[in-house]
Amino acid sequence: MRKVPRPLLLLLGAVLAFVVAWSLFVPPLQVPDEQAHYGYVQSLVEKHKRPKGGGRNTPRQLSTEEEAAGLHSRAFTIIQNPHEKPPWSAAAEARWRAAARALDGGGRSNVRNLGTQAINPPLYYLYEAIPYELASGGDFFDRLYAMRLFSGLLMLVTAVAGWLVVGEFVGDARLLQLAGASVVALQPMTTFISSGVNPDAAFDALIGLVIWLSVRTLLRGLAWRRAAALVALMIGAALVKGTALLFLPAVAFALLVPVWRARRELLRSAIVGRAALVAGGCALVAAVALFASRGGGGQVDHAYPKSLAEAREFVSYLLRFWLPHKPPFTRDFPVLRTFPPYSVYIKTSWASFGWLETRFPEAVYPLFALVSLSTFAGAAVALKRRLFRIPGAVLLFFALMLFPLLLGLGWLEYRELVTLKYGIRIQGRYLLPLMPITGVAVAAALTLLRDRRRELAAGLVVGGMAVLQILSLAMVAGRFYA
Amino acid sequence: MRSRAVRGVLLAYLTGVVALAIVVVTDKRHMAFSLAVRPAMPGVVVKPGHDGCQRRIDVEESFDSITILPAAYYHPVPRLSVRVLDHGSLRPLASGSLGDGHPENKVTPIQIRPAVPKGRSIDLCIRDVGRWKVGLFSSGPNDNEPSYATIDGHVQAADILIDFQRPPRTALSLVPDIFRRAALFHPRWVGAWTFWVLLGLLLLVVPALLCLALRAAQNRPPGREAPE
Repeated sequence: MRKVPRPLLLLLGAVLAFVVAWSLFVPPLQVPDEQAHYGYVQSLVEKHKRPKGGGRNTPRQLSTEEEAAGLHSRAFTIIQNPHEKPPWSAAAEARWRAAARALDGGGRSNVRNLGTQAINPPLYYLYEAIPYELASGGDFFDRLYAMRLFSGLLMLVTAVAGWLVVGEFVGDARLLQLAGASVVALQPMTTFISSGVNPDAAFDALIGLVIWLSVRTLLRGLAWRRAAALVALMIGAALVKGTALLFLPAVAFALLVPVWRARRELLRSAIVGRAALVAGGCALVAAVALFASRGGGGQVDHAYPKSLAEAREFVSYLLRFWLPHKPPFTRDFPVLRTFPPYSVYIKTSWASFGWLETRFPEAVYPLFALVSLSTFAGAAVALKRRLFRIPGAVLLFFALMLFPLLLGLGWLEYRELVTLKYGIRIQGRYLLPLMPITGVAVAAALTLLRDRRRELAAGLVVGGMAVLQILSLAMVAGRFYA
Repeated sequence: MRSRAVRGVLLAYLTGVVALAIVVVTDKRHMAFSLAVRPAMPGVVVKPGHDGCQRRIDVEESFDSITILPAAYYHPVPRLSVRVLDHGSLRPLASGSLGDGHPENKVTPIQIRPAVPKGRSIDLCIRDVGRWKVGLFSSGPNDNEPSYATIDGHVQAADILIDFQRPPRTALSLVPDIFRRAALFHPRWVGAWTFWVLLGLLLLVVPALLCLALRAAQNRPPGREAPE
């Protein structure tokens, strides 16, 4: 068995400290949709079946126990209400304890409707059923925080995935590997989400590993055990979130490229056989994703444009989303006038805690945008100067991971806007499964610097990410407790 | 400590801690506590000569002023008289008033004398002593169990938006309170001490781990060619 590299082990120690801090410090049910995710687990454990729901407009009806806990901790009214706080008195907690005692262990099995979260596949919730069951002798908050801590362990997997992905490109240059991995492992939003009850914790971890095995396949060729592991991970991801479907083209590409490369050495029948196996694996993943997420029906009314007019309107929507000004001859979508690439993808992927309302002062976010742009621009320059090598097939794989995801999120948002008239609901955190790619970009950008400066910059990256977490936690303290 | 990478971590940490220190020393907070009411609409309408009260409020922290959000229907806010009563005995504890001429639909502070100490259960009553009605912004009856609103003693299906204020305190001086508050609605094994331990971990142990990680990363043999 290979030994865990010491830098990784130490990095995981730091990650664990942040996971515990986020898990315990964020008030109950103040992670996006946490009440519904908790309700899903409760339904699985208490009723042995998936919860009802799925409609985008149906109100959630949680268990009596969760409603009581939310009522007494004001968990529901402070959501996205940044000026209002949870109760700060022990008397409020004592009242909840009296109400919980009155339930006498009951009130757990009447989860009636969970809205869109009900269509989520069950794998993450089955994982979370373990701490729920282990803490089932305790009260609501015993179980909630046990589940948060257990979920936070998945952040360690995400961190390892980041380490492995960056490691594929830097060889033995451990400093670059550590700097790149720390961007994944210490990303505040990933840590915050993973340390709550939210399936993104498992999804980010699994997709991180998918990226690693795909990159490894592209760099080292097709090995059947690795390919089987890759398909298994994709099935796992599909059993966590239906969004896994959007990564299928990239994974199929990663598996087919080695088959294509070996076409001269193989018999035609062998090529066809391998391609068919890859196609079969991908079809299996797609089937699992669609079956497990009940066809995804609760998220979007239909999956693709049904007419030319709808396709044109969707293109208008995308142009309005991605361009700072409305191009001529396109429909205006007023909610997109905030330049969403910045207001959504930059702001809410870097730091937007609670139910998105807990943010740094506005002046901070241009800095995040600058850092993001500089990193990818620096990586591009390093690639151009051949200081850092990423094969074209891997770059194409990265693009195939990103663009279908952006397109899928765009379609989801466009249909929401048309059918429900909501404003922008997509969030930057939906891009966080791709953080290992950012880790690679950071490692690449660092190669632009000479040895001494590179060392200092690597230290600044690692320390900077940790400091960002501390400042984020301080902001959470101000939002909820001061 | 010759490693530049380690210096980088320490520099980042030092910069971050100094920035945080500046913020917590200069950031002054007035809020004693809130009722977490969303300003949905002016749902508690008090006519001249009548009382609107928010009853059975836990005084989580001593306060000496309140803020309300009044609507006066295209008038300035009428004169208001505020009384703070002990919930059990209805004994007056403090009072205050709002004079003429305040614009409507703005958060409006009202001084209370004397300051109301922490730990009591109180009723806070606002009497319209002007010539036209005032609408107090409120939400539906929400998470303020057991607090509730009344008009002239009749229970309303709304809670009044009231925030309770005190003289400003720096965020730094609030840290012990922050940790005590953060420990509420948690498992019994979590207390304020947990957050003190975590603070120590994040400020001392984590940078040490990261410095060791960087040193270990630099102790590796020089890099080989990255794979094609």
